Amino acid sequence: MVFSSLIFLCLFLPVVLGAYFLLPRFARNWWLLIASLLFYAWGEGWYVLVMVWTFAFNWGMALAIERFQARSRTILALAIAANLALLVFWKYTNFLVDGALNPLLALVGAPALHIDHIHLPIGISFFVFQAISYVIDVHRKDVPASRSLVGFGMYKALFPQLIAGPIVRYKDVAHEIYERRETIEMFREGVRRFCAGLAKKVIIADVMAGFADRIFGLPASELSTGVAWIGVVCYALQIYFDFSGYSDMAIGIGRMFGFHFRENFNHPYVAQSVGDFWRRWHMSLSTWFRDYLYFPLGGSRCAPWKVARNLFVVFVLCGLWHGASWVFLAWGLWHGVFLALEHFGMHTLIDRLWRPLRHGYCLLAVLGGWVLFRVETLDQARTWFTAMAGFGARTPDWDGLITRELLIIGALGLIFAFGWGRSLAGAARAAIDRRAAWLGDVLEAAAIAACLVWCIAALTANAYTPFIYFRF
Amino acid sequence: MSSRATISGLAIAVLFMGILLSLLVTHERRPFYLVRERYGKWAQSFDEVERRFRKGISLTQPLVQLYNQGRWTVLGEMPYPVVLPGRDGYLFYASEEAKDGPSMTDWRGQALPDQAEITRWSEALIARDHRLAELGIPYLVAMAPNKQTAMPQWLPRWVQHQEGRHRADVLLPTVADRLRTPPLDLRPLLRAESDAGRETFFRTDSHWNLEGAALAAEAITRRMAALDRRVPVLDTRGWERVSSSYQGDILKLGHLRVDRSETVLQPVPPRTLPGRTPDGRPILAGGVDRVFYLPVELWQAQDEGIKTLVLTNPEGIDGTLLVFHDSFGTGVMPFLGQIYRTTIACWSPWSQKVVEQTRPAMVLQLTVERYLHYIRRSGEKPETHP
Repeated sequence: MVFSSLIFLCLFLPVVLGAYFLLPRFARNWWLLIASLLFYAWGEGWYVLVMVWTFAFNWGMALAIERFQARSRTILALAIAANLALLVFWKYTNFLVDGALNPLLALVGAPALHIDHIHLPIGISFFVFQAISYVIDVHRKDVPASRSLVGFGMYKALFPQLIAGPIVRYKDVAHEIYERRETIEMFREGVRRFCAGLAKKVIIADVMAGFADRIFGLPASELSTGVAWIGVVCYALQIYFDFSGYSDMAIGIGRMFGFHFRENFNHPYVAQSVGDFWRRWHMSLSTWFRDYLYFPLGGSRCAPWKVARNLFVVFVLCGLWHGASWVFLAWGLWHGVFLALEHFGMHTLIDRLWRPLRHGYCLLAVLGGWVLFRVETLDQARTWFTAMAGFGARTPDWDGLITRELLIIGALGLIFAFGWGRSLAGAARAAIDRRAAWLGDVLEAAAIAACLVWCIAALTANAYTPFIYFRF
Repeated sequence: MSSRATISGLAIAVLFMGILLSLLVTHERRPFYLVRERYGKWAQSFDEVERRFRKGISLTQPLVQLYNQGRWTVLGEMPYPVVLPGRDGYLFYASEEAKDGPSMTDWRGQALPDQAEITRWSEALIARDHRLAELGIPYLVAMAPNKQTAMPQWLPRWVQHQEGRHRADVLLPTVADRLRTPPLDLRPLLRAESDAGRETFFRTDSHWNLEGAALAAEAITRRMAALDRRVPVLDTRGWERVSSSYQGDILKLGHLRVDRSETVLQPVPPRTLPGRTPDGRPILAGGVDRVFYLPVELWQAQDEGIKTLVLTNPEGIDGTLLVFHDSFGTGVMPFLGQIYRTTIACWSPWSQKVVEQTRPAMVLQLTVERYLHYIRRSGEKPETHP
């Protein structure tokens, strides 16, 4: 089930919310657990058992880590290995066999190994990383292990954050799992956030997706330089509003139930370096890599070659986390190279630049990365980079590509991506509140209603719009 | 927390839940029927529950209309995802398989049939031809073009130059010398006419207009005359042309109320043909004439499920012409109905039973290119559409 489906919006969510607030407090975690399992099983069927196994296994391992202190490192290693094995099996087996093993076998003249396609359970990358962070935090004594299987299961399966993040750490919400307060103010904030996320997805991301798909579907002979740049900008807006919209919806629903999830985005396209970008983009993932991989490897406080190694390891794995293919690996490497260059002196050069130039450099690097993220093969990436470098097709055909819709929604996307939208809305709200606070409330309610009705109408018309980040 | 914040928070919570639940409250069936149908049939999967839910939302039409009208008004965009807006007001129905947008896969040559599809399609046609040969009935297969095949110059330029081999280019040659009569490919004729400046398709519709249908009918009767010498070749050049206003199916797809009808010149057959359903009910007072979509709509409404139209022409030659067709057949019926005394048009899959019941003088199968995608439904009947 996806957030932007009618069955979720108009049946699942109101029924779960309504029942949740009618139930006595002790039954609420049970209810959320059952609802979350149903939410997952709705789209994935019996693969819900993979998720159930993950939370049951990690619940037990965390208790074992706490109880058997002397062997906690061994238990932790076992837990991490089992979680990674699960991820590797479901996500990377086909890639490892077809993309790595078979070419090697071909080199030595051995017959290729054939395995069937393995279904990727939705959100496995998210809930496995969440599980790893939990057992590590328990081992580090940052948080006590959960005694309640229902409470822990509810946290692991909690549907707002289950399949596309943000990666909520147990230690961040541990107290809210057992003792949370739901208030009308939180509910209101949740509604506001949820509607903003839904609007991002439906009004901007889905429209940009249409243009990006159209342009990325062009054959090389038709790809002019200008069209290639428009395509990659459309994709950059699509992926940002798609993913940050989902995160907003997740945070908003969490807030309605009384949870405070971490922020996942902070206007990443205003970043002035690639390092800055990663402090603003998918923050729950980048901080996960920082805390559970980069720092344990030595972080930045070690020999320069080790720092470079650490950055490459982190970003190669970050690339592979997004998908089992060479292009995602290349995307990770791309960012790793920029971060390494910035770390080893380029940042001093960048810092001296005029602010718009710093910003331009960062956007160029990020947009180049999005090309790798979007294309299917490295060969296609080469075609795109060639076109973007000015060696595209000679006869650009803008007719039918540059439409009023692209200009209006694209401009809207840019305004909100660079944070101007929020500033304008904040200033307008403050000005209205100064004159008549009630008017601000009325306008807010009207805006929420209009946004919700429009999005439901759009979803009714378009029927089904999957989120990009589900495949990770 | 202040009382104002509490009140406004409550108001927003009620508003939010109210809007979300409104679709559930206005559901045409009670929510229980989502899991267990009226006659005791349990939903077999979550997908089925979801389908039932979507199907039962009674506000669907106003919501779709609101969204589409809003996009049309503010953005000037045709909101329906399979519609590709072309140049000078031409709208194209991108593809039967374009669920993710106007992918134009067949136009680009990205949807060529595989060997299994070729075999399934060609063997189905050859088997029909053999059965008809045993009954002594001539069999003619005609292929109508997609709008983009006939009028590519009206596609947006970015897609105009991407034409590849179409599915029909692969399929038609496989039966060319294996049927008693080679298939009639109407695509080159319509394209040549379009290149010469004739408007053969509606701007706002995926189908040919009556000018295009008349050209197709002329070509079909030329080929029919070779099979049955009594058949006169139609020549519509001298027919009266009347001007009429029209809003096509592509425009209607999105429930749009737009002032965007087109004015088309349509040839009017000299005789208005009385038409009826097989059980004798009239389809329209006055028969099938210039306003050819109207009778079809009425006929569908009256006789849903059967989709068979019987035309009689007392001045026609003896015998019956049996036509299996898709939506492109409705346009040619006012013309083809002029030939035989009886013309039976079945907007339905092929039916050997109908052939044997009617014992026609000739069987015509008229298919549009885009339905060639349906061969992919392996194991399903019919093997081709129609």
